[in-house]
Amino acid sequence: MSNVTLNTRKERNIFNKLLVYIVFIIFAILTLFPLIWLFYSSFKPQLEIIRNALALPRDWIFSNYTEAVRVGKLNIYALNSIIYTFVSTGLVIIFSMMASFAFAKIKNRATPFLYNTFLIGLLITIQAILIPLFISMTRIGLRDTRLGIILIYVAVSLPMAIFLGTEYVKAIPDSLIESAQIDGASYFRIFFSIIMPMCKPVMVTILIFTALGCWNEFMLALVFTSSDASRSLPVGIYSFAGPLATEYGMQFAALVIGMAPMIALYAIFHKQITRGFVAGGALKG
Amino acid sequence: MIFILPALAVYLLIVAYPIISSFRLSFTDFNIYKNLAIWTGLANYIKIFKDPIFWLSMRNNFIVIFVSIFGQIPLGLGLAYLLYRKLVKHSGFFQAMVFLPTVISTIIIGILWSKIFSPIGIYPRIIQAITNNPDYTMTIMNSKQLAMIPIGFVLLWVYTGTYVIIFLANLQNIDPNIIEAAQIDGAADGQIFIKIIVPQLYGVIVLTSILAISGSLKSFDLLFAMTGGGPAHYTSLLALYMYEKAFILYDYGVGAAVSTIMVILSIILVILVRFVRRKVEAMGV
Repeated sequence: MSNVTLNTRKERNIFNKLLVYIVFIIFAILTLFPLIWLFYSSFKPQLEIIRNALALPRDWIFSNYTEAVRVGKLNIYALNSIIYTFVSTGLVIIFSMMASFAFAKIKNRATPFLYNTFLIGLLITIQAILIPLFISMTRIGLRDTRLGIILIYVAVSLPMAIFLGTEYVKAIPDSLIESAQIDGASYFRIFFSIIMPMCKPVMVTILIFTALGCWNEFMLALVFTSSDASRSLPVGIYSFAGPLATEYGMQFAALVIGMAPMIALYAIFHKQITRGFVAGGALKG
Repeated sequence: MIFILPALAVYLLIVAYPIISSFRLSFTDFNIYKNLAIWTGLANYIKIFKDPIFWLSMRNNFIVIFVSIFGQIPLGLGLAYLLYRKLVKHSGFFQAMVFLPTVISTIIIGILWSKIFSPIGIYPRIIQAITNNPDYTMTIMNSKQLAMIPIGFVLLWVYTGTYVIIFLANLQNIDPNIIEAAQIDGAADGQIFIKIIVPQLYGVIVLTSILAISGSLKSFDLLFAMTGGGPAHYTSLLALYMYEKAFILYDYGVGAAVSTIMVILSIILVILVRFVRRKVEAMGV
């Protein structure tokens, strides 16, 4: 009797396992197939794409890529995006860690209020600031400049970064800071030689979040840039490969160029990226 | 104080001030060339409420919220549970597959899927193969009634991974002894999931619902790239509607009014979710 139940249980287990495998394989195919299709289609000439949408390219041509970069000016936009991502992320890390240190360890009457002011920013939708920001940026001449975009990216990234940073710095024991103060260290000294080195993990999280956000950001860049000198890669790719374009091979190449860096980064840093998403995503809202 | 200053300056200038300014702007008729705002009271709001496209956008926003709360979150929770129980080998690979779309720019994903559903894409070929009708042509994206269906699918494709990661991290905080004890008592996997796992995660489910609502209201990139709100505004969203009013028709006052409505709506929905949560807890489920 017990043998029979054991057997049916085993069979059921195998069946369940198989079912779970099928579910996950379907998901893997759903994720991978569109990306793989995009990849090999980007090596096809125009006619082949129209005639045999699913077939592999008969001869692989690379000219879609060179043409896409040349016609779509993707090299210029990519450079802009790199500048935006690096500068904004760097500034966000420095500013947010400084503020986090102050919010967590240098208490005075104003800090709780100011901290809450930043936290409100977590709930704000970007659309709520878009129009007035557009008007004032136009007025002071920062619209369609690299500086303007960087300032906006820094500002919208700060609430999340400060929140993560402050919660992290709070956990550092006060005694460490007090003993440094007794030894005569200034707040600046404490910040650079005690706080910063201890905050590496949270800085990595902030870095991932901010960098991904800046690199992929679209709406703000669409509204605030109009010239080649300041357009970012997503906006450039959209205007080149958007709904009206018909050079399919070149569009596909442009899309591959846009997504390849992120997929490569994800392949290398997937552990840190998922951890960053958990820390940020779970706390948003 | 000096530690907070850089962050505060950027934040006040770019986020805090425009929010207040947007609210004020929504009661005016603003002309950017003359830099002149004429007070018009509630006229912008009345104009919006009389516009059928606004209501269409509102409906679509609710569809997006519906898909995230009743699609992405349960699916994400289910997949996270399967990964957590380690029912499959290579769970790292499958986790990466579900999560991968999250790191790719939404604008690129939107263009990619618009190509997949276009006449040169994958979808019509698959339908042709299934129905054995080589003359089948793609109509779903041009249909006013059906165009939201593929969008719902893509929303699942992009965002389910985020929820998988969040739920997985929270599942790992659950004491494994509880599950073991239940297994010894002879509880089936399904029972364990519903009776033990889900109640432990109520807090996270509420949190992700709030995340989903505020995310859905913000949602712009994906539909902007996939359909641009077409055909004839039938896939428009509040954010797209606002963009069109402000940056294509240059009606900044109306645009600001739409963004004010979006902010109010998100506050109401977040309060509603918290209220439902309290009700559920009070029922002692």
